[in-house]
Amino acid sequence: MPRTALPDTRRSPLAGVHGTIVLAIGEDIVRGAIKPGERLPQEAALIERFRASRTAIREAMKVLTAKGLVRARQRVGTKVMPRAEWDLLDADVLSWHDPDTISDALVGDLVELRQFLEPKAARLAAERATEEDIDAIQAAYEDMALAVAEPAEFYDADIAFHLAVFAGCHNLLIQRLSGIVETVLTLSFRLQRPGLVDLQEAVEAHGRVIDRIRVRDRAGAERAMRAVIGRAKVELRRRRRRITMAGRDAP
Amino acid sequence: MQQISERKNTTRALHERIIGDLGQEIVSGGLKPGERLPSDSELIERFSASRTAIREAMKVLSTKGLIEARQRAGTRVRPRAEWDLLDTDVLGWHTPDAINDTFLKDLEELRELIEPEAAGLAAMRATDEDIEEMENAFLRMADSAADRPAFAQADLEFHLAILNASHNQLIRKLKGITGTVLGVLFKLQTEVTRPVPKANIDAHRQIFVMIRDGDRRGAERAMHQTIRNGAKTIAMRRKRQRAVAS
Repeated sequence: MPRTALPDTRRSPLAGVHGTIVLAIGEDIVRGAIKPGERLPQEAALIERFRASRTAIREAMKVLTAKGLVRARQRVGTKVMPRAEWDLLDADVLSWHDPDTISDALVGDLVELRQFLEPKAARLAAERATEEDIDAIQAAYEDMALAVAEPAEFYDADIAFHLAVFAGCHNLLIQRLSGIVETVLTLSFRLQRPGLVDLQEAVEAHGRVIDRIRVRDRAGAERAMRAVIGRAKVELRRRRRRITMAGRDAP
Repeated sequence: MQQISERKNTTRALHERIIGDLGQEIVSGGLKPGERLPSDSELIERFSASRTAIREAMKVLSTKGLIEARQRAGTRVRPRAEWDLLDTDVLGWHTPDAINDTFLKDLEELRELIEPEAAGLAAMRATDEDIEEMENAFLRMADSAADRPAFAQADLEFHLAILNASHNQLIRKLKGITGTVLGVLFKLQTEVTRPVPKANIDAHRQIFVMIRDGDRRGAERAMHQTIRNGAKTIAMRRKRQRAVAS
């Protein structure tokens, strides 16, 4: 089945060779090629595989350790940590999941986290958004409306819409949390996008959010945002069912 | 061998002290956004540390968004909006005096965003073990009404047990942030000379009962109530302190 072309959203925190190493090993771990409790290849093997210096390998290990994926122990070597220790709110770690094999449990948790944060963010935005905030939300909305035939552009505009709502909260801490939400959105969109999603309907659902924010209807904005995420949830479920079916039909 | 590990420990302690001292100075406004940090050589002298140790500490502070090194312009404090305020160190460096009314409101709103919904999920999903953990924390709260630090510790454990009982692996990851926010707010709430009011304990009992009985809306409401009570206490204290000050 042809996959709609989407930007490669797998992230790495570092540029250059460090970044390549972090991404490669991080993905191996998150996608289960190296399992929790297993040992990473020895430093010498990694130096050869990546044609990198010892310093670059060590730097990459530091990054993976900070994300909770590995831990180095004297004499035992570097081992993959149990999943519960991984920093799943880290943008990189989330982006390393394979959309086709990500567990239903994690997908459910992602949607739930959005349902947790975004309706209340919309409520606060309805209370406090300035004219400029509303303009930014409106601009993202218009970009979405124009991009119904271009999934990749639609997806960027959709993320911009949700982040603009967060910015409208005027709360420094909640704005920080939008970093997490951006990550969650990116992964959710990668999961739900290719396929039969009715983008026109999605645009209309987002339109109701900005309408409510504009007239300062807090409860209405909260409800409208809940509906947007509810739609995303249904789409995700539909897409996952298709993946499962395709897997079953494969020879 | 032992000498080596001792040296390691003191190196780590020094590393943390440099980060902590400078971080706190920035967060409390001793060093303001836009201002330049003391030069490397001044810092080397102040902390009796090596250049490497100072540079390592600077790296950490810049990953937390507090400072920015520019060639020729030196290292400067970044605007507050760029600080990683959800970082547990950065939040923890806020002394009660460093929290103005705007930031206090931000903290309370973040609680409102996370905790009531988490209580609702806990009501749907808490296992027997989760309930036991919450009950234990609650009983310790009830027992230590006169012992403020013990109460605060049990209070924190109670709230984190609720996030745990959400059984959502991402929401569980919010425990770090929530714990720090609660730590900061509890410090502001604490009236050292008085025992914990009974109303506070009752409000927590209500949360516990609603979760145990699987009442989602009830748990959300009870959590809202507790958060509002906490906010009221802080507002009253601040008003009183200001009256005394003027």
